[in-house]
Amino acid sequence: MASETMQMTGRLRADGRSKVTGAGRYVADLTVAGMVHGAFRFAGVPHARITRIDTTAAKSLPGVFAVITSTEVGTRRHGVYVQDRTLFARDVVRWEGEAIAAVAARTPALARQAAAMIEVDFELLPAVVDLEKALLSESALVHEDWKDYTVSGDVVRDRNEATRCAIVKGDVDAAFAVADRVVRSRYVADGSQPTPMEPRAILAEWSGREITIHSSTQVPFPARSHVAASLGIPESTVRVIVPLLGGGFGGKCEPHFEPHVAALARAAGRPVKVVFNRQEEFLAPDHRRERMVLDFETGVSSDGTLLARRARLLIENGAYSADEPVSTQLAAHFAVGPYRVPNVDVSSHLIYTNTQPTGSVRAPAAPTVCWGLEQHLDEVAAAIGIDPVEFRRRNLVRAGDTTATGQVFDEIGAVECLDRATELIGYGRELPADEAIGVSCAFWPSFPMASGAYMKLNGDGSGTIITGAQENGSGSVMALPLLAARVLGMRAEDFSLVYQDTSAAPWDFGSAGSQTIFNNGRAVVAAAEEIALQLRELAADQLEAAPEDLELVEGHARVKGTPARTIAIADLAATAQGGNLMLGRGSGDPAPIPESDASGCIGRLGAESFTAPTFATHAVRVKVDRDTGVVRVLEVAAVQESGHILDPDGAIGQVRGGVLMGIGQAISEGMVDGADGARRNAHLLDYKLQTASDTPVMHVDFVDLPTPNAGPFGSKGVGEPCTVPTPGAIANAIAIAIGRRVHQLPATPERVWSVANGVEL
Amino acid sequence: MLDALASGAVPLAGGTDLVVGHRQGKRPLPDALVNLDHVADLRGIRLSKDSALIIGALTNHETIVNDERVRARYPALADASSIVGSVATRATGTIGGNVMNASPAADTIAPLLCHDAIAVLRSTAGERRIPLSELFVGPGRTTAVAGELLVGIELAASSPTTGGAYVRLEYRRQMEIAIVGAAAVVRLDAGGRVEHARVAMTALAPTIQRVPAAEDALLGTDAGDAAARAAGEAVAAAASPISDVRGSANYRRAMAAVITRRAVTAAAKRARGGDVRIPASDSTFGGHAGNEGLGS
Repeated sequence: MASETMQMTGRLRADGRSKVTGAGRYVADLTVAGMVHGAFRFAGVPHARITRIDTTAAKSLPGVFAVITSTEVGTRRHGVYVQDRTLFARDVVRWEGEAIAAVAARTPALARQAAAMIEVDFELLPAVVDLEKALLSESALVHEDWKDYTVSGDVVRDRNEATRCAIVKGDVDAAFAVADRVVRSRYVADGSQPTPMEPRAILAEWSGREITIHSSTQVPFPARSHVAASLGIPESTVRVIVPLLGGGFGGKCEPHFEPHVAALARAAGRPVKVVFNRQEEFLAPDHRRERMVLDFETGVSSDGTLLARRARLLIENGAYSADEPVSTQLAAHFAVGPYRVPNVDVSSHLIYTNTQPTGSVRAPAAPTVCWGLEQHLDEVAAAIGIDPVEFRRRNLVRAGDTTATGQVFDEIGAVECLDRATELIGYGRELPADEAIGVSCAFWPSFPMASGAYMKLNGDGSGTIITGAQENGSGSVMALPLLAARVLGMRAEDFSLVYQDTSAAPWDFGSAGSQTIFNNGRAVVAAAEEIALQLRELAADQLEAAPEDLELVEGHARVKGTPARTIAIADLAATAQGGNLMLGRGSGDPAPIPESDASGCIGRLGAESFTAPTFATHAVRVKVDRDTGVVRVLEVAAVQESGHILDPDGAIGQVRGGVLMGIGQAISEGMVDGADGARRNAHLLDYKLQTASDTPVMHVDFVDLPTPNAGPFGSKGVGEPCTVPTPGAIANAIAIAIGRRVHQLPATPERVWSVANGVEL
Repeated sequence: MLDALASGAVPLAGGTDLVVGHRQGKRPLPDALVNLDHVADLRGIRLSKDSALIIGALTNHETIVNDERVRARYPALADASSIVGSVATRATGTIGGNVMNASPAADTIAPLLCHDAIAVLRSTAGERRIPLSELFVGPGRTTAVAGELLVGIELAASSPTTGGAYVRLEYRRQMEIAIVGAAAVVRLDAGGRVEHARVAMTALAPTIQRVPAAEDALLGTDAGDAAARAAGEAVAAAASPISDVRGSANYRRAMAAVITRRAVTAAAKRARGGDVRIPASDSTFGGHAGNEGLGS
C-alpha cells in the first residue's frame, strides 16, 4: 500500500468567504457616478478589406455619447515580439473577433444596439486557416506588409511564419542510421480556451489628465504600460486597480482592452464600463491555446535507449502575435521532453492564420506538445516491446544530465515523480477490459523576474503586506502571509494583504508563469527580513542582548537558548508606533538563469534554458465505452516536483484544478473552427468544460526537494506544470483500452468511436 | 391570469429556457410575463381515481425524481428528470416548461410519450385534453393556441410488470444536452413476453416522436439482446439526424441504435423486477467517478 500523500491543512483563504457567499466585488459589480456603458463592434468576418466605416447612424442614436474607431485612436502598432496590430482595425480585419469600433451609451443594451448600427463594408479576402497550406508559397498572406513590422528579439519571420525556433544537437541522421527502430508519428490538435468564470470587464474613469482603470486583468503593471504607450501619456498618470478577479488561466494575461475603454471614456467625457458577454469572451481576446500539427520521429535502440529525435511543430498564431513567439520557443523544448536525447533536430513554426490570436494559457504550448510527444513515446516503446513506464524510467533526465541546449541539471525529481505516480495508481494491476492506465511525464520552467512588496508592522501587532502581485484565483497571493509568518515567527492570519493597485504597490509582472510565489514570495521574504531586523534591534534594547542573539518564534522575540528572556512582537510593535515605525520593503535578486549552449538554437527569445525546472508525472485510469466512444476519467495520480512545497493547501488545489483542466483539453474542450475561419462553438453549451461531477478520484503528491537557485525556501513554480501531462496520459490510456490510437485532440466521443470501430468520419 | 395570457402575456415557470434563450440572443424577452410561481394548483403529483398519474405543470424535476410513485412505476421519467441540466436547473425548471419549450432535445418528452401522456391545456375558453403526441409540430412549436396554458400532464396507469427507461448519450455528467436519447417502456406477460411496447427517440428528428417500427420489433419477444438490437436498428432507420458541432449525422444514427438498445435493455430489466439505478444513463456506462457503474 502506498504511503499517505501530502494533505491539506484546511487553512481558510482570506478571500474565500467573500467569493463563496457572493459578497465579493468584481469589476462588473462596480458603479461610479456618471458612468455609461461601452460595447465593441467586432469584424464578424475572418478576413476582409474594410472599404467603408460609417458611424453616422450610431452616433445619432439618442443616448449614445461616443463612437470611436482607428480614426480617433490612431494606428500605432503594438505587440510584445512582433508589432503587428493596432487597437482597432483600419484597412483589413484578420479574424472575426477583431475590434473595429467601440461605442459608449446610456445603457449596455443601447451601446450594443448602436454598435450594430455602425455601417461597415467589406471586400472579403481568402481566409488562411489550414496550418500546412499557410506555409505554401501560393498561400494568401495574413499580413501583406509583414516585412514592414518592427520586432523585438530574435524573431525569425517569413511570410505567414511569424517566427521559427529550432534546437539542434548532434547528428540525427547518423543516429537514425544505427538505431534499431525509427518510429514516426503525427498528431493534430484543436485549439482550446482558457474560459475563466468571469468574462472580462473594464471600467475607465478620467480625472483631468489622470485615469483610473478597474480591470479584470492578470497583469496590472503591463496593462498600465500599454495604456500609457497607446494613448501617449505618462505611466504616472495611469492607475490600474483590480478588485476580485474571477479566474484567468492566462486569458487575462497581457494587456487587452484597457486602452480601448480609456479612449472611449475620454471621447464620451464620462466614465465607461465594458462587460463582455460569454460569446465575446470566447471570440475577442488574443489568448487561447493553439491548433497544432505535430510530427515526431525517434530513433531508439532495442534496449530502450533513446538515440535521436526529429520533430516539426506547426503552431497556430492566429491573426496577430501576442506572447506566442516565446511559447513557440518553449514548444521546441517540449518536443524533446524531460528525457536524455543525445541527438536532436526539432523546429517549431508559428503560423499566421485568420483565426483568433493564440497566446499564453496555463503552461503555454506545453500540454499540447506533451500530448503528442508522450503518445509518440508509447508508440516507440510498443515498437521495441518495452513497457512504456519502464521505457520512460530509463530515459528520464537526472541530476548532472545535459539538455539539448547545454543546460546541466542540478538535483531534480523527474524519476521520483514517475515512480510515485505509478505507485499511487497501482500501475500494472488487473483491470476490466474497458479500462486502462496511461502515463505521461512533463517538465516546465520557472520564470525569474523582478518583483516587489512592502510590509508594515502595525501598532496592534498585526502585519500588512502591500504587494504588486496579482491574485487570479490560484491562491498564490493568499499564500504570501505564510512566508511573512515564517520569517517573523508570527501566524499567517496576523497578516492582511493590500493588492492590487499599481499606484500603491511596487512592480510585479502579474499572475502568470507560475511566478507569484517564485518572485513576489522572494520580495515578501525580503521585506519581512527588514522588519525582522528592526524587531531584533528594538528587542535587543529591551532584553539587553545583542540583536544577532535573538530569534523570532511564536509571536515573540527571545534570546536564543534562554526562552525566559522574551518579549511579545505585539509589544515591540506598540513601542515602535510611538517612535520609529516598522516598515519593510523587498525585491531581492531573481534566481539566476542556468547557463546554456544556444549555438544550436534559432529564434532565441530568452527560453534557451529552464530556470528551476519543475517535473510532473500523471498516471490516469480511464473507462472507454467502445460503442459510443465516451471516455470517463476515473482516477488520476498526479505527482509533481516543484522544489520545496510552501503551501500544501494551495499546491494541492492547483494540481487538482490543473488536472481537471487537462481532462477537459484531453476529451471535451475543442474549438470547432470552420475552414472559413468562423468559430462554430463560441458558447458554453457546445464548448464542453468538465463539471464538478466529472471530477475523478485524485491522488496528489509532491516530491519535496528544497532547491538552490530557485524561489523562496527552495521552492519552484506550481500552478502550470500540473496541467501539462494530463492530456497525454489520458490519450495513452484510451489507446491501451481500445487497442488503437486517436491522433486528434480532443478525443471526443465521436473520434474515439470512429477509431475504436474503424469507421471513417 | 388566463385573461392575461389571452392578451399575449407569456407564462413564466422556472425561467430556465425563457431567460437563458434571451441571454443567448435566441429571442427577446416578452413585453408581459405571468409568473406562475404562486399558482399552487399547478404544482404537485397525484393519482386520479383510475390510477392515472397527474403531474402539475409547475412541478420541478427534483420533485419528480424524488417521487416514489414515479420512481416505481414511471422510472423512465425519473431517469429523464434526474439528468435535465444541472442541480440548479432541476430545482428550478418544471416539467411544463420542458414540454412547452418543445425542444427536439427535451429530456422528459420521450418518456412521457412512452407513457401515452395526455396534455391538459386550459384557456379562458375552457379545458382541452390532447395526446402529447399531438402537441408538437416542430422545434419550439406546438399545437397549443394563443392563450392556452399547459396545466398538467396525465400518465396512463402503469402495472408492476411494466418497465421503462430513458437513456441519453452523455459527453459529460452535468449540463448536458441530448445529442441522442431514447425512451422505452415495455410490459411483459406472464410468460415474460412483451405484450405492450413503446419506444421514442430524442434529438433525432425535428420533434420527439415514437417509433412504431421499434415497438413492433419488441412485441412478442423476450426483450432480450436480439430484440433490443432490432429496436435500435429500427430507431436508427427512422431517425433523420443532422450534422453539427455536437456530432455528425452518421455518428448520431449509429448512436441511435446503441442508446435505444440500452434503453430497451434497462426497461426490460426493470420490468422483470431487476434493479437499474436512476438515472439509467449512469448504469449503462461509466457511473459517477469513484462510484463506478455496471459496465456496458
